[in-house]
Amino acid sequence: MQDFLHHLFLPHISNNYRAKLLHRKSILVVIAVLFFAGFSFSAIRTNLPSVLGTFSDISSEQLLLLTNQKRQENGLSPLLLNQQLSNAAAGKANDMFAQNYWAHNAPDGKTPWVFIKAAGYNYVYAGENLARGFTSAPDVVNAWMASPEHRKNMLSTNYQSVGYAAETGKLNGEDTVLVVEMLGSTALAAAPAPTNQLASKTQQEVASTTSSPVPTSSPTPAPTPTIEPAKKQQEAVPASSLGNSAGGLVLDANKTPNPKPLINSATLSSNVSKGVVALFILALILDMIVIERRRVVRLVGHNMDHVFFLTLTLLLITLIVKGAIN
Amino acid sequence: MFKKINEHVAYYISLILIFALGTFLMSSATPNKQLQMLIFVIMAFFYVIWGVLHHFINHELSSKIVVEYILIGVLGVAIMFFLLKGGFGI
Repeated sequence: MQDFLHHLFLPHISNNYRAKLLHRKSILVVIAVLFFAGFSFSAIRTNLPSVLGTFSDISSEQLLLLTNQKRQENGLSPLLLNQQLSNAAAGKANDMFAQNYWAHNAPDGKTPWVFIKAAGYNYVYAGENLARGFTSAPDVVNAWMASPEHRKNMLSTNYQSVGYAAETGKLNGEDTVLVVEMLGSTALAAAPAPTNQLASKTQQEVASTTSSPVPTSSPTPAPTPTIEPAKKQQEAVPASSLGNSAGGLVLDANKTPNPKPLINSATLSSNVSKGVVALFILALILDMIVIERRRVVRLVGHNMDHVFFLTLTLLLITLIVKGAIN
Repeated sequence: MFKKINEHVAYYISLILIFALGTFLMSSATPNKQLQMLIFVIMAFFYVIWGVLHHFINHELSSKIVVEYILIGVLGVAIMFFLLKGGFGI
């Protein structure tokens, strides 16, 4: 075994003073195996989703716990988990999969508020945060907290309740996990604590949005977001102006969750990729050190170039596996 | 090893610039994994071109070296393909 590893990773007379792993034939074999494995994994994902697929260990309880931790660290009251908001979040996630989009507003013009109202939650304030591609709740909450717009939503004094959904599905031809956070309140926000600068700022924002309420006499009221739905969605309208029409939206709250596959393909492929890159970087560095010490003259490329390239590949693998927020 | 880097510092700066641009573009393409794959393939192509030019300018170029750079570039692409096709089903 020791001889084999020596042969594989260290330049020696047995491998013509070039680590066997770095021989052209070895690299070709690894390339062929990786392409074959990529296609095979893809086929298994399609045909045997119970064995290999995408899943997340993100739960509403975890997200709530972490969000409330962040709120308490900032001197704010904790949010309560609301089933109606969770249903609205699930409806939004399923709608994104069904219509193949990842945005606050659907291609058919449906706003997040439509889902909240369809779930039967009559809000005064409502907000939405989105995330995709994350596999753990702390990663989602940390990503939201790192974004000023999402952070503002999470630490707003306007909200009393929250609902979450973490759904797996295919988006733009890619298996992914969508996390939707719906924040809401059925009452006007309490006066902010004078010592909390963030809460104070939020309160000022609400004061300006509530100063121009939507007319309550409208027979088919369609609440327009008073803040542009860019990175964050937040709306403040009088509860009395809300209609009960769901606009044809169907919320499948009783939907059976996707069966959890045996192996998480994203984690497995990420770990395998990182392992392969690390092995090649190790072989290149060892090869470089031994050859430098022994002063062997060879006609090969610069190992340092390949180390740079593969280190970048390792960095990008980590970057790609990371999810995105909206 | 470090002496070699010092001798080729201008080349490595150009390589770092290529990588920095690629990383920025891939990060900007998030979460579109097909686009990220395409950007990585282009980056690997530029890496091969850069390696070949580097050896050509230093009068060390041979067909073996060209093949080596191509293989390392394709290895990077194969790793990325495995991650995205196998892991995310793009």
